[in-house]
Amino acid sequence: MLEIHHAGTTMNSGMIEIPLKSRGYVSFFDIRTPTDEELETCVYLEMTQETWIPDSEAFEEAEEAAME
Amino acid sequence: MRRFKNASNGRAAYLALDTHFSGGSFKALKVKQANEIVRNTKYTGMSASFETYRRIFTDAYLDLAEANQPVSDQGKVLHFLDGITCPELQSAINTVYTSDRYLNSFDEASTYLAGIAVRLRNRKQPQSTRQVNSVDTRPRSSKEWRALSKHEQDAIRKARRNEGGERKISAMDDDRKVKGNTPKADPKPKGDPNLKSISKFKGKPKKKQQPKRNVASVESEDVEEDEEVEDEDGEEEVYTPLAKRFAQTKRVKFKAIYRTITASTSHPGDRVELDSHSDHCIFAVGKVMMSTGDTFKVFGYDGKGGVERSVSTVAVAHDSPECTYILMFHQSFYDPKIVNSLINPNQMWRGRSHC
Repeated sequence: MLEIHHAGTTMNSGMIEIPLKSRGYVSFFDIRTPTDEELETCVYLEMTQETWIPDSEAFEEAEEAAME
Repeated sequence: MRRFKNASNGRAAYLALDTHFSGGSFKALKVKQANEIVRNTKYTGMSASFETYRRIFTDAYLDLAEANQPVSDQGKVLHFLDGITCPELQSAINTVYTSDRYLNSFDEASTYLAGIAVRLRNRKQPQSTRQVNSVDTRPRSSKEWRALSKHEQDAIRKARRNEGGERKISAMDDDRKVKGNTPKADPKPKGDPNLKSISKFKGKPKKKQQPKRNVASVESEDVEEDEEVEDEDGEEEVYTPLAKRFAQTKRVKFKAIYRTITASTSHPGDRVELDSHSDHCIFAVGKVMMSTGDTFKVFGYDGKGGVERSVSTVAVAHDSPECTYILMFHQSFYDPKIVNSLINPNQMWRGRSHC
């Protein structure tokens, strides 16, 4: 299950769940290219943040700090 | 208040103040300000106090509650986390996202994060002190050199000797690995003795003499126990015991990944797979909403390819039983030529989603 914490506005927040399928050990879910109409009318969910440095040393430091 | 001053009418003054501060327009202003604070306040790093950041949010939530617009505890936590852009705290943020205890209590979540922030801050301080005290071995002009005390010069010489020694060991080690036999002792320099110092810098191994894989230089001391391993391509490579274990582990991983790819290719439909080995999310379907302007070379697991792609925000549609959602993936790649879309769960933990 993929859980998405949807902040929305300050007054309206909640959690949306996307059930994952699996083939062997590979988990996946279905996606497709959205239409222009869908882009204008559907609910947007932000899945990732605008900052992402996968090889940042900060991950190791934070991990060590959490273990202390 | 000036108009009540001459009349000394305290009751009228109080009533006027009460009307002003409990009036609709003032409340609306306070709500607007509090909402702006909640949306726009960011905690970017260790230089600012996390306690200040926490207090700002606490006050804003109190203002909203006083204006009869209370925020749910989970909403408070989510907005509080949204404002934290400091990468050092991302691991702790992930913990909050995945814990019901923290996710449903603003007080507990903020206290937990404040504790981590303080620990990170304390850890950082001694590191910088160590850097200041370390010996600086950078090249100096003769004037700078003469300005140093005898003690400082000795310390720098010693540090440089250690650095030089390490380089020499690794160079000899590499040389031996390539040739597969023990290195011969360097001939003593002839002629001008001043050339002796220059020859140190000529001793750098040439690129073509480097071993094929870096893992072979993981351990350089147990030279007697090295083993020659025949590569799949038929080329000989020399591994130390530790490096061999490392290489074997990597090969197992490569095999596992290869199996994933093989399994995936039989289903080239529109779906996205969870893959923690992928550095960024990458999509074969979807629409690019915007690009950051940064470009990276995107390689497959086999290290082949190297196609340049720009970092983008990609929107894909997901049809749930209730409705269709547009899923926005920042910091992702779009490449219609790839077979399968991949999303990295670790990258999603940094957002608001987790599995």
